[in-house]
Order: sequence, then C-alpha cells, then structure tokens
Amino acid sequence: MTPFYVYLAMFIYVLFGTFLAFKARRGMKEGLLEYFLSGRSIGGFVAALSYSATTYSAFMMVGLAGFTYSGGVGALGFELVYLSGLALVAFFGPRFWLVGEKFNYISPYEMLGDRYDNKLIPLLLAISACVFLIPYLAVQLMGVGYLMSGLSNGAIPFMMGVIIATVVAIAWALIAGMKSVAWTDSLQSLIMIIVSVFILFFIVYRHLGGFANFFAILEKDHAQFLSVPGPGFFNFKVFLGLTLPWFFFSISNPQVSQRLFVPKSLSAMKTMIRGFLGFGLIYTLVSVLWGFSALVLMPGLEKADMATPALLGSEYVPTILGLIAMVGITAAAISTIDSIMLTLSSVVVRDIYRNTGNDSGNSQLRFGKIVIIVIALIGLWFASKQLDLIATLSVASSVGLLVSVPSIFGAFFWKDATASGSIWSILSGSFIAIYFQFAGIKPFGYWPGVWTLIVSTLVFIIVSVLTEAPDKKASEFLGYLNSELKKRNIL
Amino acid sequence: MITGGNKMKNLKKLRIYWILWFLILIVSAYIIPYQFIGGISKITASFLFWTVFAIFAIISTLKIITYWRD
Repeated sequence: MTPFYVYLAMFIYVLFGTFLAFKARRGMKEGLLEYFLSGRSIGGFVAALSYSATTYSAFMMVGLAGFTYSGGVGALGFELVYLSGLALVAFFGPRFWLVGEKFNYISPYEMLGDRYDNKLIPLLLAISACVFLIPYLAVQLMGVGYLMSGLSNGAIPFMMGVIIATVVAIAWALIAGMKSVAWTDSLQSLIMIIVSVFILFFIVYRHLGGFANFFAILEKDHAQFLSVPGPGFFNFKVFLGLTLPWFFFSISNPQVSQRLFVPKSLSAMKTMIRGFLGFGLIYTLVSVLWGFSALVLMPGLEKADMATPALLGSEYVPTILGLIAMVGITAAAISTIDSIMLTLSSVVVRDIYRNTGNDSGNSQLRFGKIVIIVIALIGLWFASKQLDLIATLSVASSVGLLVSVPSIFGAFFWKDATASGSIWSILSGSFIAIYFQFAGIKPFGYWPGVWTLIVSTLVFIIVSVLTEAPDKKASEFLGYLNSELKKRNIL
Repeated sequence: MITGGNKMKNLKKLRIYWILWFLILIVSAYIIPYQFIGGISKITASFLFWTVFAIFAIISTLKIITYWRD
C-alpha cells in the first residue's frame, strides 16, 4: 500500500477527532475538576463509549487475536473472565461515585489517602501507576508505529507513526482535558466497533463461506484450537495467571477507576455499565473470531502477533478495508493513550505535587498540563528504544497495579483496615510483582499475579489487625456512604 | 413497613447472595472448561460455554444495577 493512502486515512481520522476535541472545549469552565473530571457531568452514553474506548486498546485486535491464533479458545475465556469482572463496578461504581462527589476526590489514590488518613499511600500508588502505565502507553505508541510501517511495507518509518500518535494524544488530552478525551473516545469507540465488525463479516462471508462454514472448517482442520488447554499455551496455571490480574482491572487501573467519578448521575452510571458490557461482549467475540479467521486463512505464521497485520496486508483484505482497519486499531490505541496520560497527570498533581504544599488549583492545573507533555515524551522515548524491558513492564502493569486492590476493598468494606496495612500491602505486593516478573520466578508454576494478590492481601489483613485504624475518618467516610447506599438502594 | 435498620440488613443479605452467585459463576469459568468439557473440540463446547458464562455475568450485573435509585 502506498504511504499516501496511509497518511490520507490518518489525516481524515485526526481531522474529525480534532474537530470534536475543539467542540468539546466550547462552554468549558475553569478549574481542576472541570479539566480532569469534566465537572462530574458526563452523560451515560458518552461515558459508556469513553469507558469502552479507554479499556480496550490495540491489544484486542492485535494481541488477543494473536493469542487466539497461537493458543486457541482459551483466549476467549481469558477476555470474558475479564469482562465478568465488571460485576465489581456494580458494587464499587456507586461507592466511588458517592464519596468522590461528597469529598471532592479527583484521583482514586487521593480517595484512598483520605480514607486511611495517610499521605504516603497515594504517593506510593502514584509512583507505581507511573512505573507500570508509562511502559503500557509506550507499547500502544509502538503499536501505531508498527501498523503504519507494516501497512506501507516499510515506506513509512516506525518513528513517524509513534510521533503522530504522541502528538495526537497530547493534543486531544490538552484541548479540553477529560471532556475532549471523552468526546474523542466516543468517536473512536464507534470507529473501533463498526470497523472490526464490518471487516470480520467481510472476511467470513467473502472468504470463509459464512459463519457455519467457518466453524465447520475450524472443527475439521484446527480442532485442537477449540479445546482447552488447546495447542499448549493456555494451561490452567497460565490461564489463572493471566485472568486474575485482569479480573480486577476495573478497580485496579486508575484510568478506568477514575471514570467512576465522572457520570453526572447514578442513571448515567447505569447507562455507562450497560453500554460497556454490550460493547465488551461484541468486541471480544469479534477480536477472537478475527484471530480464528487468520488461523484458517493464513496458518503457519512465525509470530502470532503478526496475525492481524499479516491478514490486513494480504490479498483477502482490499486496500480500502485495510486502511479502515488501521484507523480502527489506531483509534483503540490513541483512546487508551490519552486517557492514561490524563489520569497519570491528575495522579501526579493530586497525589505528589499537591502534597508538597502546592494547594492552589491554578498552579496544579498548569503543572498538570506540563505533566501530560512530559509523560507523553517519556512514552515516546521508551517507544523509540523498542526495549524488551518495556514489553516486560507493560505485561507486568496489570500485575503491578493489583497492589491497590486490597486497600480498595478495605476502604469500603472493612472499618478496621489501617494505613499501615495498606502501605505494607502495597510495598510487599510491588516487590513480589516486580521481582517475580523480572526474575521469571513462578513458585509451584503459578504466575506473579497470583502471588502478588495473595501476598498483598495477607499482609494487608495481618498488619491491619496489628495496628490502629483511623477511626474518626473511617466513621465519617463509611457513615456517609452507608446512609447514602441505604437511601439509594445500592447493594 | 421496612425500618432503616431492616432495610440495611436486607441490602446486606442481598449483597451476600449476589456475591455468592458471582463466586459460583466465576469458579465455573475455570472448572468447567478445564475439568469437564475442555477435551471436546467443538465450537459448541468451551467456546459456547464461555460465551454463555459471559452473558450470565452480564445479565447478573445488569440486574444488580436495576436496584439503584437516583
């Protein structure tokens, strides 16, 4: 494909997104709350689309399709166990939302710091979020670089795609903060779902003789890929090691848990959850079936991650559809990148910068905008190096972010949970996550995520039992929450 | 008439039931494919099971949020 068409497709996509971002800026008010949370006034429909676009990255159509290509149906189980983890939002969503509004929290870590009456907790969690999420962001940038370079047969340099993605993400995050991110996310989620469904149907009906025939071919020629553990990758310990950290994604990853602060009402939050669950089920099935279609049409690729790029560049996909698919996958990457940048900026501002005595909202806002650019540049630098370390840290991100889970459960469901319990749980869990991941340690064959969760939970409970809880703050926090939960009939 | 204390107890009881249901559902997503139907190489085995599992989880989540009142 000539570079001209690739640039043209990107140009049209960026133009529409930027138009929306500027439209979002109209009528925007001043202040931190407006910038980072869009004034807690996002409607259900936009919240649902934005939550979907933020959650699902380029991993789905590339990584998950690749998992399916090499590991079979276990990839579907893995991603659907993640989706079932949204049940956590049915319990935690309204709790985050209620206390967020009452105590004016902007970052989820700020909420934990206040609940445990301790400033070290948000500081530690903010550092850990930066350590794990910047490499994750870099991998998304690299994805856009590889995609543009691959589709133009190398005519577009890898770094050109990375730079375009970085500039676009910075712009869409800076133009109107959460509002421009949410609006552009909405556009991008629609592109993601429409494009992926359309191309899957095109491949299945044009080249595989319809779904019934497609499944019959799978059962006949690739039967092993429909069994569990399948061709070998998805044995039980791998499955558990992958699914456990992802099950808690909706509360452990700040770029999505912060979204629980933004709906304008409980009804809007309901719409957000409904919309996301529908989106998630369709997008998961499409990504997995896409991986299976690559397996049927192009078996024997050396690298499973190449399944999607190879299929898009093959004779099975017309140029125009390949371009549209590239835009769909780029949209998935950029909608995740700008949300992570905005959330990390809010976390650095509220949980680090503010605690060094900078109370002024204006100075926090100015600093936050600089942080967005700095984070993007660090991500760009990481992506340009293409180090193995980045991939390892990116994979470790869902494991590393697990360390906040016991503290989040404790904050809402255990009055006697203590700040020391939370701090030691975060420290011990982070140590296990990083050490096990880098040293490749898997006691009894179980992956680092399993041990991180076990250790951080046990330490949290034991230290909390042995230390003094912040009774006054816990009573204020849980007292308010319980009366509101009762009033609003929330389980 | 339901008093405040009773209502709180009812919500708590309901919450426990739902959590138990989710635990059973989630454990099934591991046990059934890995212990019972994993060896069947058909689209109607693990593929269908995990899809139905997800639909159950989605419907259950939707049911819980219908309790909420603004």
